[in-house]
Amino acid sequence: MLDQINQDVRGIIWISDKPLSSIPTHFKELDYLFDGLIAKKVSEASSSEENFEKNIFSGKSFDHDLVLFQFFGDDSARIQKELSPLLQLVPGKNDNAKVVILGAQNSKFNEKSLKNSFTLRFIRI
Amino acid sequence: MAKGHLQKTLARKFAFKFLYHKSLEEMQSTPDREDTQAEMDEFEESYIAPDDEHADNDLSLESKTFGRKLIIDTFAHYSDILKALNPCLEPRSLDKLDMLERTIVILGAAEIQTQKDTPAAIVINEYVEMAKEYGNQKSYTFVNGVLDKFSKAIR
Repeated sequence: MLDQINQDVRGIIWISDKPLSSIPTHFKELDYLFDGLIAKKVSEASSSEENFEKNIFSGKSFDHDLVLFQFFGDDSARIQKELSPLLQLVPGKNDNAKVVILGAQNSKFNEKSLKNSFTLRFIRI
Repeated sequence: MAKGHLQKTLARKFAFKFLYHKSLEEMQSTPDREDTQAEMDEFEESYIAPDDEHADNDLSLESKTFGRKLIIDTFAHYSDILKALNPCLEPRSLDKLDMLERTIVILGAAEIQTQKDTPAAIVINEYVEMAKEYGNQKSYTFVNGVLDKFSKAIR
């Protein structure tokens, strides 16, 4: 997965298959990418809701700013609603920024419904 | 809401988004004012343009002016704000916060410190709502606690 996170990627949407505290798929790779920030934050990041979780992490990759939006839950409509304002926080709008979507295999998340005020290229891996 | 009115909530969001991007670039205190004005112009055109999903982005002139004032005030009082904020964060510290929480508490503290005609409770509530929208799920309780302590120390 990490080889897909190249220098054009400025945002990652991670629809995790488990809550963060349960170490979902891609946890270790993303924690490595964010220099251990995710592991450090696990205790603070636990959700107050059983079936929904949202976390945002800010870091750097290839000397570029990079943001990670992690969501857990089956409610795709809610995820898309909560994600919409966050997309404006993705840096690098002048650089044809890419946003990678890491979704659970059975995720109903539909990136095509996302709209934003500048060009982002969504790539599902 | 009709255009031409001061929509402070939207103005605060404008200031937050600008400062968040600046924070990622390692925001410095008191940058060159002309540079900041130019960056705000560019930011307005690129990030804040309205679209189908973000119709609220179409800020009135009054709102843009208020948002810009918050940004300028934040830079102007940056060092003082950091000094006063740190005791309110214990046992955490500003450099240990994620950029989102860090930006929200700094901006909230700047408004509490400089906009004394607005009751602190209203300002705090605005930044709590901002933390719910943009932050992690527990960010808002943290923002509420920090800004409440800050307002009691400052006002």
